[in-house]
Amino acid sequence: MGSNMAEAHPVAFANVVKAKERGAKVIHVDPHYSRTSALANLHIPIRAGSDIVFLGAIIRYLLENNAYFHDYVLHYTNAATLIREDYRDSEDLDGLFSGFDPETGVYSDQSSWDYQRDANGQPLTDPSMQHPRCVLQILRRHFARYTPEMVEHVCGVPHEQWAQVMDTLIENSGRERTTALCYAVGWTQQSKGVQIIRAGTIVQLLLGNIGRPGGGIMALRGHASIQGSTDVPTLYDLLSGYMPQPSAQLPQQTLAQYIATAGQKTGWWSHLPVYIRSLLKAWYGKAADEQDGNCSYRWLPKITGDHSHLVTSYAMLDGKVRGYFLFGQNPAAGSSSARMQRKALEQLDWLVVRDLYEVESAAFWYKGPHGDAVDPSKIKTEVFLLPAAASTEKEGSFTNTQRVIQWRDKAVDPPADARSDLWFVYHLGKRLKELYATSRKRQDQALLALTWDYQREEPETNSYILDEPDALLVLKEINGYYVHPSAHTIGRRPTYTLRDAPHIAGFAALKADGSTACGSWIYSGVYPEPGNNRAASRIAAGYPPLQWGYAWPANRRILYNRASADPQGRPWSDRKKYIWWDEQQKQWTGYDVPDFPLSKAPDYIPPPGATGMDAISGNSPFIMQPDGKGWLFAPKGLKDGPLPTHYEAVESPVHNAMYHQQSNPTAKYFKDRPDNRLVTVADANYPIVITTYRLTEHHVSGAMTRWLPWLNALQPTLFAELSPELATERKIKHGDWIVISTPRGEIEARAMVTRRVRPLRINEHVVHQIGLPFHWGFQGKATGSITNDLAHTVLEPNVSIQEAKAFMCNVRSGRLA
Amino acid sequence: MQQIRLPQAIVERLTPTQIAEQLATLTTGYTPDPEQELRESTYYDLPVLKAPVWHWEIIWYFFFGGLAAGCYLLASIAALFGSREDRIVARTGYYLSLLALLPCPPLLIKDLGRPERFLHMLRMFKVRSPMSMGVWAVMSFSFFSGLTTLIQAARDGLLGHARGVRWLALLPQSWLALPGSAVALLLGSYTGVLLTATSIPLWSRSKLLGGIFLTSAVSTSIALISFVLRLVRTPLGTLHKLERLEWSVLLLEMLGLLAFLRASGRAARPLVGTAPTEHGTTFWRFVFGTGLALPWLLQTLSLLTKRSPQRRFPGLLISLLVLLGGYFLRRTMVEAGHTSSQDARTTLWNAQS
Amino acid sequence: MIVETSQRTTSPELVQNIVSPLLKQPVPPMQPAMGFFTDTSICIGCKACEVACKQWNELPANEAHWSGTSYDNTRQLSATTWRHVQFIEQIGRERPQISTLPFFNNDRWLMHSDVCKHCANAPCQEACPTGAIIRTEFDTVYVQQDICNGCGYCVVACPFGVIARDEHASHTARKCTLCYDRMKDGIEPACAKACPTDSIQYGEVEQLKALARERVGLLHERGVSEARLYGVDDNMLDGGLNSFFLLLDEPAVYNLPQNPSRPSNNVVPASLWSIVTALVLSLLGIFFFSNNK
Repeated sequence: MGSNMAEAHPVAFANVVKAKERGAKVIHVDPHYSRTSALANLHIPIRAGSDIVFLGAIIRYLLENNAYFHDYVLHYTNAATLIREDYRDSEDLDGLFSGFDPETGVYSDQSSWDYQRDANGQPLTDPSMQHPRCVLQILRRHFARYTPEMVEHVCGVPHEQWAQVMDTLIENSGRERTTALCYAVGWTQQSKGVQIIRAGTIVQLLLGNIGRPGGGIMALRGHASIQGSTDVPTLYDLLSGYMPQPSAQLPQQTLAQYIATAGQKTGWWSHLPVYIRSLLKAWYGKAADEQDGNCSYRWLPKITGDHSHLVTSYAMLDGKVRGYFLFGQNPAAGSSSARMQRKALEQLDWLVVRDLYEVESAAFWYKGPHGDAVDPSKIKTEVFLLPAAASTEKEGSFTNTQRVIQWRDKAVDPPADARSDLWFVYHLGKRLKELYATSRKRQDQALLALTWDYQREEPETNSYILDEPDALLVLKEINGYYVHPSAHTIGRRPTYTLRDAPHIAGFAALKADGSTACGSWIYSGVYPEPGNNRAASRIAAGYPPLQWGYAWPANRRILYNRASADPQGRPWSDRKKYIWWDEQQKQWTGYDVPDFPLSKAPDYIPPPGATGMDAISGNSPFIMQPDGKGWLFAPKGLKDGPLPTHYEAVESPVHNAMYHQQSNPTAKYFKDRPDNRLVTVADANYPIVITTYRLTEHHVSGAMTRWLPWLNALQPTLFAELSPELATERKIKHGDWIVISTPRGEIEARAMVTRRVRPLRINEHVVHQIGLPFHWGFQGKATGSITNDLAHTVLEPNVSIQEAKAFMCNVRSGRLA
Repeated sequence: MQQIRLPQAIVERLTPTQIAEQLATLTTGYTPDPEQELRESTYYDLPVLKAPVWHWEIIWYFFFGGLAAGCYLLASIAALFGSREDRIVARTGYYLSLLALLPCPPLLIKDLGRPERFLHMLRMFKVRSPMSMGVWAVMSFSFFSGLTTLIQAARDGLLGHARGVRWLALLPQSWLALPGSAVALLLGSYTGVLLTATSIPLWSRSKLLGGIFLTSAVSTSIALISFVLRLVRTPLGTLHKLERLEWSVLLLEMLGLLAFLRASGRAARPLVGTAPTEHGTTFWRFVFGTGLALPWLLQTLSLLTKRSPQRRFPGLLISLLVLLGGYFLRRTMVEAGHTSSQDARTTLWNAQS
Repeated sequence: MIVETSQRTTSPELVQNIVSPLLKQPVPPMQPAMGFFTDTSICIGCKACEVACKQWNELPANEAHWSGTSYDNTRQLSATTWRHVQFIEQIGRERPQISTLPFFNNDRWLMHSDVCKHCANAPCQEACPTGAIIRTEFDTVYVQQDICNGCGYCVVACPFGVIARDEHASHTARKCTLCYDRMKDGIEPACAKACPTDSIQYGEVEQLKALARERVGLLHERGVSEARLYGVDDNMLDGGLNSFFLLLDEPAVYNLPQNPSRPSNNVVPASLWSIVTALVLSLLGIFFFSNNK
């Protein structure tokens, strides 16, 4: 669902095809019949933006018919846990949960969502799952209105089709079988994206499909190594290894405060002090030697609010951002509200674009779409276009969707002045350090203290680039190393340098006392000793193939794999045997690396008041959660409610049939922005649902692909897919030029009239949908309109992602003047 | 109003296109059924076959090659079987044969993608490949035609009176005539066999194209020789022989073409049909109409009325019409072959078991 | 770095260039017949084969032209396009009443990577007058670019519309070589290598044919009754194809002729008819010329 896997991830999809050959059933639920649908056993067209109703009906069916995996749900999820008495569900508040502040549009008080707890803070449970305040009963009431009839009315999916999905899911889940759920930006790029994933999670937990072979939820990431870019993050709100970025808005002025607010007393995150101290050592070296770690902690930038991409774009538009670096990103064509993005770039003093070609974001100051004239003399932005090296021209790693880190060697030198991003950042850092070398100002000390020695011992052989830094040294820092021979020598010499330090074998060896350094704890173990870069290993044999690359954490191929055994530690079935408790050896064993303390027996019950991992019982596989359970109900962590609730997309052809609350109340709407005018519900001027997607032939805004004649010949022009019915209604012929308009802008495309797009019956009305790829722009060898000029900027509250998969538009025959 | 419309409808039915269409249906035995054809599967109507890469050069080559072969054949027959008077046919025929042969090699070479590699044709002697056989036919025919004509020229005193020339004149020309004629028959027919041994439905379905091209080679050659002979003083008996021969060869050619159309059926539509891409209008007008039927009728008339063959005009007209028809036969056949190659539905129909 | 080598052909080289095509080269020892099995039932239409082929064989890009024929903007094989992925939309077909999930969606989008068939009796090779088109030691059909003089006969001989004359650069006939250069080094052709789902399989023809028969049997078992093999049996062109296909509909849907005839089989009947005509014409001539009345 929400993924065009065959087109956007053709290589990964090869495995789906293989699985299908071996008997797996493939169901594709998506508004648009794509190459993925063609290979599936069943394709179900669904109205864009209605996923939670579809999934909610599955949840309801499982609960009402006791079709869920009882033992799994009882022991491994928080189904039996009691929620506080003052919690109010969307059932009670017509689409809202308790704690909502209408003034600010946020759930300012989320305390009522919490568990009922005993004196030690341990959650209260009802193993019979009958207590009205237990999660299972709350779930049952919450999803009661998500009926198959609602699926027909809201999603436009006939009852038989939905039932066929339901039957297939149930048939293929349980002790003997498992089902995997794959999603991509078709889910995430919605104003309630996180809650759709939550709904998928609930389905998978109820069916017992998490932590087991063949199960799980696959987040198909949008780019090569975008997984890596959240692990060792480029995100504003995360430090590496998913530690939160310190915030100025929270009491996090000292390291101790940070640990108290960001860490957890129970569960794996009780190790936060170890990981943050090791990170500070990796970044600030000797300067982080102080006893409490506070000095170096203070150097970490504190966030002051939402600094996500689109919010920053608006700040830029308002003149609050002076300089901007773009590394292989192309907001002028590839980001939502691309028109606004180009205007925002015009407000910068300077802009550095590192890319393979002169992409739209590097050319916006003299060129626009459709040959629009842009007067360079009116734009103050100084643009530096620096040629970058392509993936084959540099050494480094990719981390894929499945968390497997795979090392890539360099094949050839980049041409002329093109250099790797590593080269650029390294030398930029060196120059900055030189520039500030004599500064005594406090704010400059962080930069000066930064460890920054990645110089190669000797230049690479057969390369004309003599100053390329050593990517393996970076990997070593990420992996972690010993700073001192032992804890007793802290603060004294000898200390090791990055070059001569012994490697850390895995994150279990990290210490909170400053004797170890580690750039990203989850990657620890990828480079356990000199000459052994496990990410470079390519042995495909084995089940699972443990020597193909390195899967974080600890080379585990399936997370939470303790759940593949029953509460007593025996495999659920012989067929799905994966990890189990070895009674003789008194430890967990199996095909994969167990994701559980090795010697913790299945019958271990934590003593009252236990902390850390000791607080996790022997039958609680979800060790990253403080209660060790899979969360059907999320008592904290989400900004838009503990349970998924159907809201219409911000722009929708219909009123919300489920609640009076029309759309996600906590989304960021930017309603005051003149360039972000939104279509009101059922606006006759914009009656058509539009969704966007990718084609195999191009990559995102085409920044890399539209410069290659071979690929351009395969997909030369922007087109819009529409149904024959809509085409007849609008007097559009196949192949005509058409204009697609939203309040944000107008673009032109060729009309691809195809039966692959079908009008849906929603609430007795016919709703037309159209679909557009978004690979074109005004640069490159094949140009075309920018689909993102149509999109609005309304952001999902948790992760600030735009809603590009479901909005409203109109179409007419013709071209832009 | 009704009364006015009716005659108009009849007039409309009698437009040249309508007539051509009726003839097409009649001769091919295939009535186009657009609805049925639309139901046949193809891939977006994109051509199944590649279009031939042959254009005007090959059309002229077919025409001149036919004349060279036909003239040589007629000349040899006249020399071997004709009367003393008929020797003028042999003389004219041999000269015309060499003359017609001269443009052939340049036309063939120009038609190649890589003309400088024309010699590569001589790497092989491949019986299964009509083009290979054709190359050898052209080569050996050049030898026979050249030598025969040279002897002829020597005898006619065109080469002077040197000793070598006298020896040349003494060579037995008739010994060359027999093998030469055999090669001429090969040259005159292989082009048609070559087109037959392709995947183009129009060319390959009937297997009759070799015979038709050969017949046309002879009919155009008679026309050419008669034309020239009419311009010079020629014994009446000889001209009469040529007229009767022309009459029968034209008849044979028409019968051959009708057999070709009937055997090709739907595959012949590009040649005889009247759709915009089809060549029926030209075919019926210039090939079958003024190129065959009309001269044949004129010939019949002139033979029946026993008017003096000395009267030049009708004879010259007949010759010109036949030559024009022979050219258009090759032109429409090649061009309709292009059309045929682009018609996916007929190609797929043609390849059904 | 590409080193510009400006070459001036010396006269001995010139002589060699002219003479060498006329000389017979030693024949490499025979190898097992190699070919492709293109299984359209697992093609995802990614076109990686098209691009890999162009890249390896250094073929120029097609003109960027939006065709509107579904996702196929390549439209046909050509002198410089040796793999071509077809897209056939079959949406809204009659839905059979079955309760279990079908192996394929009832609404189908057929994808098929077309390529040279490397016929066991290749019409192009039979037609070629220069001997430029040969059968290699792997029993594949290969156009020797230094021999071909672009006569164009192979173009009209091919019943599949595969081989074509390159009108822009080489002016010779070109088509898939089955990556002869790669085969010689024992590595699979570029398209097969790039195919993510192994829809394109490369191997020994006999083994591949066995695999294909097994595969179509499996699909029939799974209810895909429309699956069929194309070019596996020997009756196709009197010997089968070394590059064959598993199709999900009748061949015509993919523009493939159901049972094409072998053009060289026309030589004998056409010649016979010519001989008959030659006899008739000669007799007519003899008759009229010897009749002196």
